[in-house]
Amino acid sequence: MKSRIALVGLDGVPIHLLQTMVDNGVMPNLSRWLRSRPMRPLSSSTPPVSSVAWASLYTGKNPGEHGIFGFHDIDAATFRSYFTNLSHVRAHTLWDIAGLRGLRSLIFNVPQTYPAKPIQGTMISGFVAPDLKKAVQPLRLLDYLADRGYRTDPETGNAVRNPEAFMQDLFDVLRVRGEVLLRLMAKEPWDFMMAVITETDRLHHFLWNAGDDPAHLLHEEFFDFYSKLDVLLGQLLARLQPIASTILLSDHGFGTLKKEFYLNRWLEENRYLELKYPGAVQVEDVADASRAFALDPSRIYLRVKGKFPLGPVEPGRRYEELRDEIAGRLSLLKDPETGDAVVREALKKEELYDGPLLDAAPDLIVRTNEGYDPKGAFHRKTLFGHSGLTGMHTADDAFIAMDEDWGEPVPKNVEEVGALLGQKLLSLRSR
Amino acid sequence: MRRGFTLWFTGLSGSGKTTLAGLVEDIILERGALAEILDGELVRREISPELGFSPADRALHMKRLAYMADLLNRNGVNALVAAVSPLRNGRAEMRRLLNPFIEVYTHCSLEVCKQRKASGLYRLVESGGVTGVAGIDFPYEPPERAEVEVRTDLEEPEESAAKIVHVLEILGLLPSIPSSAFTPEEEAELRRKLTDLGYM
Repeated sequence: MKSRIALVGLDGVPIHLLQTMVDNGVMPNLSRWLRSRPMRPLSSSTPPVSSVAWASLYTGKNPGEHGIFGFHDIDAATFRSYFTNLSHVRAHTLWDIAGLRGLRSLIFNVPQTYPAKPIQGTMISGFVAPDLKKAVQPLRLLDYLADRGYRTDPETGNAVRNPEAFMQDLFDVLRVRGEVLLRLMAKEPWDFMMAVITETDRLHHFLWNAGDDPAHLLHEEFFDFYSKLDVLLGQLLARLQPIASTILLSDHGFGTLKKEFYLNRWLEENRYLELKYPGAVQVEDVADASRAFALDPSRIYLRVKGKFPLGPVEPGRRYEELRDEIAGRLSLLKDPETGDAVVREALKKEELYDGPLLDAAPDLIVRTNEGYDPKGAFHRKTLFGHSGLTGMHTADDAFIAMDEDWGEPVPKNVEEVGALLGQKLLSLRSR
Repeated sequence: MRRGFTLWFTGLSGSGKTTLAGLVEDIILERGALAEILDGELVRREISPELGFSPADRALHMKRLAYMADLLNRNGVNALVAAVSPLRNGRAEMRRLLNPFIEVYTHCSLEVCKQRKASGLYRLVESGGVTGVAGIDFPYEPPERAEVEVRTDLEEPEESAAKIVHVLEILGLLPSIPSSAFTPEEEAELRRKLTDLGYM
């Protein structure tokens, strides 16, 4: 192993897409780098959403241990929802481990790292980071970032209505992201670096179809984006090669979104969920008589007595029966247009997670079949629909490629990557 | 009663050990725990005026500091020791004697230290009034692996203190304050961004 460790993340890039880009000559720098570092598939977290996936990676633990189950969560005792942030992560992070060993970290644009912590090293928070002043440690870097026009995220509000402007914004954010990362790598001392490009995920959410469809207005720009990404990767990987044992990976994959599937609408139609009033839009508007509700993207919670205020579901046998009933009925759901099964399986929390925070986990996690994107919105009036997004997250087709000195075995999922990094950090010496 | 911990601040004279110890002490007290500062210079003056700076005297000075820190820790008080403690083997001995032991390296260039203590110790050194000063005519051996290193010549004291407190939180030695990081305006922005991406 070299004297430093680096992980570079491409958020939401599926292995097959990257292979296509490499095979078609769109990414010559990456192609050269991959010659001695074969890409292998990597599984994401469950659910395969960035907040959970990156938290699982940077702690090396599952959500039952680190406590992040989504971007949005609920306090069972008060039935108040909240947006999760780094302060809610309940396990030691890789930079914590590094810091305690006297190693300095450069943590750059990693999702679920807001607000930035005063770590040994540098932290620039990733999505979601609404206030740049709270997203930068040490604070002396704030002026530099502001001067460069650094942003955590492109503007997505108009992405559906004005995709051309959105695409241009993606290019702009990527350019500044790259410039700032390269400068910080050179100027800030680090022994462990974790840096993520998130523009890929944004591109795929709104313009996945642009990559698929040669007739799409932005088909060429889709590939141009990857070409520009390749230029950045070329610079990054060339600088890392002599100094750091490097891993390149994604946290989840992407695929075509055929239909959004609105879980709360399904729960309502099947009388598991009641809303306090028509048009209710938030979880706090769930009526006391409700036995279940869903949170994004695929989490179902049962309102168990003693856990949720006025929860009507008796714990024990009744809870288990209700879980089995919901899981069973979901498995029978067919797309009325095609007759295809929508839900692949609904897994119980104890099948997926373990740890001291298991009680806070959703009771069922829904895995859908290809193309059906589960959503936790409350205001939908139909079971299926579209909101303008054309791509959806997928769970088992992320990728990983590693320098040879990492050895075998290659991690199979994001949690194993974190565990491997944690192990290697324990043997790294501070320079 | 839970045993207290010892935070051992090491660094050149003028590197900010006492200042930082004061800031961290305030935070510890605010969080409902007990803390006491053992300032190396003060202890020398008040308790050990007979000690000089020979290796044997330095070792005895540190041993006395460790004894007092241990006494505090046994009674549930967290001890914040601010002492130059220039030699690695001396600090290693402290780590052996005290548990939990967290080493804080106040890393500061000698030039900045001299500016901070221009009217004190370093002026005496220049006038020949004192010898055996770490960093001048006595070696200072920086820690190879302190739990916390703070660059007091580059950071604001509050920033350095926050790093130290963060490590105490990671180690489970100080309760962290749950951070409601989002103002109502930020929450509105978050909701909008997550809705744009289909998460809500």
